[in-house]
Amino acid sequence: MMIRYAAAAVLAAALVLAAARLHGHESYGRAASFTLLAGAAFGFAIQRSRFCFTAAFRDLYLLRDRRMALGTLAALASGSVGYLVVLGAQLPDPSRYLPPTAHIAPSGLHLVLGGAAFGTGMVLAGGCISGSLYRLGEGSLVAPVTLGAAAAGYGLAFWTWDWFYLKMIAEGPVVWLPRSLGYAGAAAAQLAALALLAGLVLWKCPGLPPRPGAPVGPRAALRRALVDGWPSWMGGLAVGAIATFVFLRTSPLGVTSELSRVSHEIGKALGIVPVELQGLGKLPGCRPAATGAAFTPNAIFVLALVGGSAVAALLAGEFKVRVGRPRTFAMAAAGGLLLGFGAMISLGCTVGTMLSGIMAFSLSGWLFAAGLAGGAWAGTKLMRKLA
Amino acid sequence: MIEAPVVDIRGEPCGMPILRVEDFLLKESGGRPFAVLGDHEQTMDQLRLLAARHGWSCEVARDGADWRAEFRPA
Repeated sequence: MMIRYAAAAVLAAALVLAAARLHGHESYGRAASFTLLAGAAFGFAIQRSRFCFTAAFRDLYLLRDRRMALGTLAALASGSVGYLVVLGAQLPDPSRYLPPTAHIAPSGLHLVLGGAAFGTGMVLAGGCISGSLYRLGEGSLVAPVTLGAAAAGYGLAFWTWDWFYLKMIAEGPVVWLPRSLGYAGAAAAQLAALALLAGLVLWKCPGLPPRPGAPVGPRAALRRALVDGWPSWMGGLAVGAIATFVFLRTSPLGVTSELSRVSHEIGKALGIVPVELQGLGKLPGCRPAATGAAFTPNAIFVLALVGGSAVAALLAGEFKVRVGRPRTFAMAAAGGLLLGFGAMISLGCTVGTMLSGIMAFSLSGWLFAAGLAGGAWAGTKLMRKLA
Repeated sequence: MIEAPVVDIRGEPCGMPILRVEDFLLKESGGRPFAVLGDHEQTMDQLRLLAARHGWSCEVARDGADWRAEFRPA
């Protein structure tokens, strides 16, 4: 027990020291330091609450387990309120301009198709990209296979990119709800939609009864929140708060742009992917600009996410090298390919396109979520056949 | 005394282990009690939902660093 506490303390200290080092570094600075700490906080929060977009859909279909669906809705609702405050301060009149950094993408069929591919892939792989990153921090050996296959999936999508871009993305309407409804109308419509979904989930899916013998009451709830693991709604509120602070201070949450960039660089070096991808640089959140520094902001966020998750897992006694069965690796590889392909054509993943998109009141986030719901349903059916 | 069979789902990501346990319950358990060994608390909680859906009882308890669920026909 002492060893894991010591390992957690060393890792946490390393993250803080790295943040301090970045703060004073001429190639990085304060924003990179904040990004590292935010990534670590995000990793810590999603590990402690087992916050998982895959479970939000799959567990509803499989078992009518409502916990993670409600956690995701809590994240979207709290983040929407946070974004509303930030956007209102940044852009008091929403009718004339779009917020420049928010993940508001062109709407179209590409989001539904990409969401469907991503949703199927995340169920097969047992986690989406952010889920695989936090499981990497817990010691999963399956997660690197998923992430490697996702990079390969990006490679496949690069070949189809120009077609998707020209047919669906370039001319797709950019629909930002506050532009037509105003901030109050957009917030009312979005929060009502989220409340309706929460009501449906609560109505159709019974709650899990307390485990027999498990202590109940305020003390037990406090222990559960601080030691045993956070309830999903608490994880959702933490994710919403972190997303708001990250948007306020740097750019919207996202975990795939660096993976996309690295995949493209490797593909180009091997001569197996197109060198030019039309219009990609004009789309929000898709590709971090090469800064000349060794790590892009998105790389810093992702690495810190894994570190924060490892600290949380070590403290909770949940860090363990997890191997899995051969079939698990095969499904992770197949699922990872779909994750990468889907993330590329829908301009991001469950974090960048769905979470950050919906919080920014963009129709693109909702379209991706609709595709995701269908894909996860298909993935669950497929998983039943493969089990 | 014959020991109850054990389904080991440790180390596996979420989702698939639930289906493996359901498959065992329906096709291999023969209606007799069995145990499940796991290392993921959320998945172990879901086993209780699974058992209830099939009219079984399921008690989950710590087993060292892991978790053990006892399935019994209700």
